[in-house]
Amino acid sequence: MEPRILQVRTKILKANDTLARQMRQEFLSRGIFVSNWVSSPGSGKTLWLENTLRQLIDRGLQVAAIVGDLETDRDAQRLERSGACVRQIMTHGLCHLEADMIRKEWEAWDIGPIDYLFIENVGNLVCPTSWDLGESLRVGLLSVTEGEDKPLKYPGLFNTCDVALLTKMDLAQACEFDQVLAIENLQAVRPGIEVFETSGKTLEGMDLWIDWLENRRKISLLSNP
Amino acid sequence: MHELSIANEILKIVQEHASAANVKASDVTAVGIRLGAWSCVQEQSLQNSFRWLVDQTPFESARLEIQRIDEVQEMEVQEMIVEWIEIQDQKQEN
Ligand SMILES: Nc1nc2c(ncn2[C@@H]2O[C@H](COP(=O)(O)OP(=O)(O)O)[C@@H](O)[C@H]2O)c(=O)[nH]1
Ligand SMILES: [Mg+2]
Repeated sequence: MEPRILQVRTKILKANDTLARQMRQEFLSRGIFVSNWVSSPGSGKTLWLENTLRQLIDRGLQVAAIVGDLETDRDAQRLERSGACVRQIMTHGLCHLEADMIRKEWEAWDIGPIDYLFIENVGNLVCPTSWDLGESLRVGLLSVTEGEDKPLKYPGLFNTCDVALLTKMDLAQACEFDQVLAIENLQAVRPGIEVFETSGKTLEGMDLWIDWLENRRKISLLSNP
Repeated sequence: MHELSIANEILKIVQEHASAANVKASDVTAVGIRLGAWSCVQEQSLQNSFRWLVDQTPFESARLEIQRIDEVQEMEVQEMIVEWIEIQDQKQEN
């Protein structure tokens, strides 16, 4: 007998996508702006996030963060220094976070009303690409020590980002970092992407970043009343 | 390494569709997958993960056929789709 074909045409991550969509709706309906931070390990996610949390708290906003790492709660401890509520997810080897992991953490969390939820993903330029976590904003970080070519080498991840942060700009000169080229490369894989030049050590770029973030939050909440 | 998670989702979709169409797991001989150009999946790793998952299960005769689509017009660069399942119906025993 000849084999027959059953047409399926189903997205492989359909279950994750559906859950993430519901979560995004729910977060926005509660007035919570969620962002998902992705980059290679060591590019400065935790330091910039700790500073971001501080700045937002200073502006009177309620903020919280979930951080994913293979092992240890070191990043959660660092982020807590800002005064924010923080939860650590230890993935024990899994190279990315999934929507259901965020949902479980969120549901078990006895937390009051918040304005922002930040998710620091596992440091990896490949695996987190395909998993929507219910975020309204995906933030990609590229540090000057990694080289300008990384967006071209990892187009998948950078293509999914809404905004990019060039981090460790205080080291740019020592690394002979060419930010014009880095921005060109980001634009090549994600046309129109917004780019900020930042330093977690000198806080270069912080005010512009916070103003932009606040603006994005307001636009998101207004378009999803 | 995330290929194992992806293989697991593929298997769930195959199970769902096979069961809805009253197809026996052991009659599934192939699963057709389409991957966008930037879907960040290492094909050999996906093959190995899928094999590892189905081995010694009723789905063990299913092989994975992966097609990567580089044309952006044809498919979103990030997209990952289970397109079809191939079924070899067993002859009815009298
Ligand atoms: N000079 C400099 N070092 C930084 C900057 N941001 C982070 N670092 C350092 O880079 C290392 C990795 O930073 P971390 O925030 O842990 O990166 P993550 O792995 O992406 O979370 C730490 O030693 C930080 O102190 C920066 O803007 N400038
Ligand atoms: Mg970190």
